[in-house]
Amino acid sequence: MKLINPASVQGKILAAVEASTEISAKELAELFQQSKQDYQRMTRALQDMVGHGHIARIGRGLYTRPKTTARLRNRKSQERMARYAHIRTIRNEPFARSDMAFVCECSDFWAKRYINALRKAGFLQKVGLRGGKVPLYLATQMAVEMQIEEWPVIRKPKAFTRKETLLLGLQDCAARIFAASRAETISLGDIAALAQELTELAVRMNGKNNDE
Amino acid sequence: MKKRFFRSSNVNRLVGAMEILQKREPRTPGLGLIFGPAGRGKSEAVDWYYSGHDCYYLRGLDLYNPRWLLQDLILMMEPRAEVRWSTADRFHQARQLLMKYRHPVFIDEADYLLRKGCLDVLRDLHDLTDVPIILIGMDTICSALLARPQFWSRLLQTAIIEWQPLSASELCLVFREWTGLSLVPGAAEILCQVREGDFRDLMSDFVELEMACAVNKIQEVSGQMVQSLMAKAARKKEIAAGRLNMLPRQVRILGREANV
Repeated sequence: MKLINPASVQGKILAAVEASTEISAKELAELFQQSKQDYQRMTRALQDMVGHGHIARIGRGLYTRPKTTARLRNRKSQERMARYAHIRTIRNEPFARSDMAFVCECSDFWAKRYINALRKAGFLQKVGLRGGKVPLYLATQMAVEMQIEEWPVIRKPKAFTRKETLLLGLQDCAARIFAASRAETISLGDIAALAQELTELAVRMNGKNNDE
Repeated sequence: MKKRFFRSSNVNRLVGAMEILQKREPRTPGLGLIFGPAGRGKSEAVDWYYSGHDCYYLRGLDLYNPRWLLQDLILMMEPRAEVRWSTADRFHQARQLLMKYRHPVFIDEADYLLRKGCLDVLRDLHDLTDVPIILIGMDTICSALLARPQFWSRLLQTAIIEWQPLSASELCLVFREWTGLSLVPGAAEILCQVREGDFRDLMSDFVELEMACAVNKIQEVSGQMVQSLMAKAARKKEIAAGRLNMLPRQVRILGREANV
């Protein structure tokens, strides 16, 4: 589960929700009672916290603290990797990225992403190199003292980011067709090649969607 | 060579035993045992199982006594728990936590628990909570446990897993999966006989065979290639042993001279 800084907006909301059994968005707004921007910030923080399982929505504008800790929903591979890092640390056996990918049966790409995220959050540390090249990692003391469910997770890249990438590709293709038409050298073959490129891009984006 | 986790018959037996242990009737034997020589992939398999299932893992220590064992069991289940002072309180705390979570507990290096009554603590915890406890140890642990009939009778027979070496057919599959090359069954049998399922030795053999295939541009490893590889390894071993014998025996006790 994502960690929350007590001084942040999310931290304040969490403290308010923990203080009472249930709390409404209005009460929270009164608590902050600042500008419209602050209110928007609060609503965004609420959505984010519901998504991460810190608080649960029990009705229209009503929130409470869930009794059980949130599981890593739809993130099986991340949970596997976290557990793997945990067991290797208990045994004091540093592991490389490839070891993690091998045992957790996930791709090297995911292992790399997750290790980087854990290192940024202070859950993993580099402890040496294997053969002078391959970095080895172990979990930090802070991570070992936490339940595995509380370890941070990587969020999926947002949908609009993917759309944006696709749109940029499309614009690029359009610009090239336009430039070609201005120079009056465009042929059907060129258009077909560009269309092929665009299709490949779309397929690649869809593939990414399926993988992640 | 691209390593991928291989579900050997040993791993399948582990998964099957864990399912039986977790779905068994209450008040039936629920202890498990995994044993076998080092290098056969026990730890990798346990890592793999641990990473995919809700369970606990504890590594046994040489200095363990019941009190320390209970403390580590409690901290394993709840890392931020306040461990109580008296041994009785610790026992009840551990029991409550086991009852709360009900996840199986793997205890590695269980050979260390044979002394100082630690094994009896585990037996009591198992009796009172019905939570499966699986001991992992070297091949000597089996005979040591046989000498304790009260403990042995609580072991579920299907959950006693001897970690056996890979069979020739499994070795062919692993080789094909990791290197993309094929291994003649005769060659696999030679590898099985010589290496006795030691994964560390097998890995180095695989790398050498893959290189030999790449140099000769062949897709199949023959028995002759494996035989020559084994002969080379044996020769290296002999040379190393000869060199070790040739080393001068000098024993210096530092500090002794100064005292004298």
